[in-house]
Amino acid sequence: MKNVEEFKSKLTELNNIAKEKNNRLREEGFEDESLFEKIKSNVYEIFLQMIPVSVKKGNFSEEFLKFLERIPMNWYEALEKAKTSGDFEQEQFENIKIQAKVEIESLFYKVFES
Amino acid sequence: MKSIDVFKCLSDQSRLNIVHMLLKKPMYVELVANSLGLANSTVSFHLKKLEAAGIVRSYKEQYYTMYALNKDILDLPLSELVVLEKRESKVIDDKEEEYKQKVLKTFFPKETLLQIPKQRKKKNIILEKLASDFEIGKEYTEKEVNEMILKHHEDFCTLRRDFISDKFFTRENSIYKRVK
Repeated sequence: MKNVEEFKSKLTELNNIAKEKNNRLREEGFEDESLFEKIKSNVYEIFLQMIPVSVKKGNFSEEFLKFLERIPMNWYEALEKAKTSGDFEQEQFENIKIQAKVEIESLFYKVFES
Repeated sequence: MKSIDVFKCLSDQSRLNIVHMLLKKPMYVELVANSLGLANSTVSFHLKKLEAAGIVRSYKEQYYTMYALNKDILDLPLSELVVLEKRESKVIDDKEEEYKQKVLKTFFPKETLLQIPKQRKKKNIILEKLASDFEIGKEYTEKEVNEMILKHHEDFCTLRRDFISDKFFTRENSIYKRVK
């Protein structure tokens, strides 16, 4: 349970950083990069919500990893679709979502394997 | 290319920074990324957006894709840039008019329609020309319509039917009324 709390706290920290960057970049006129941070923050929030759900299901690690695998499936599909259709904007958005997921995954292993 | 796309694209500080860099010389993604401290993927994204808005163009130079400013757009005074699409739509209108005149010259050199074009776009131009003999909103009997078409072509039945099917005229109780 200690690890879960630590993981949640670090993920919240990542989310807060993304939110703060989102606001700052928007104020400075970096519209698209501000949007990229917003997208990241949305991903962090999705997985923050999956923490109590996974705890409730019993085996936290197993359940959380299932979410980490299942939720981004659509993003990979959307990425391929965007690449095929040459929609570089969508491609960038899907890549950011996937990068954020990878970041969460690394954080997960860092916390739970230490 | 629309003015709104150009302005929307430029309303981002990173893209303005990139444009500023490209004012000096054409560059490739990695060079821009290093200079601005941005990820290659981010710079690539911005350059693609600039390219889509017509502000930059890309070309290959050895292994690199180089990006250069499209001077045709950036050298325009702001007063011309804000009416860019009007200017472009005028070019389109001029082209349409040129095509129309070409079709009329081929099929309708003088007062006689030489043949009814098969291609829909061309036929529409011919119908528009024939319809111009009629007043918009005025009622005509079928006989009057036939006689007016007959001045230009003998197949008045086909042309009269085309007037209806292509919505140049409405028909009610054998009374014809030009609507466009």
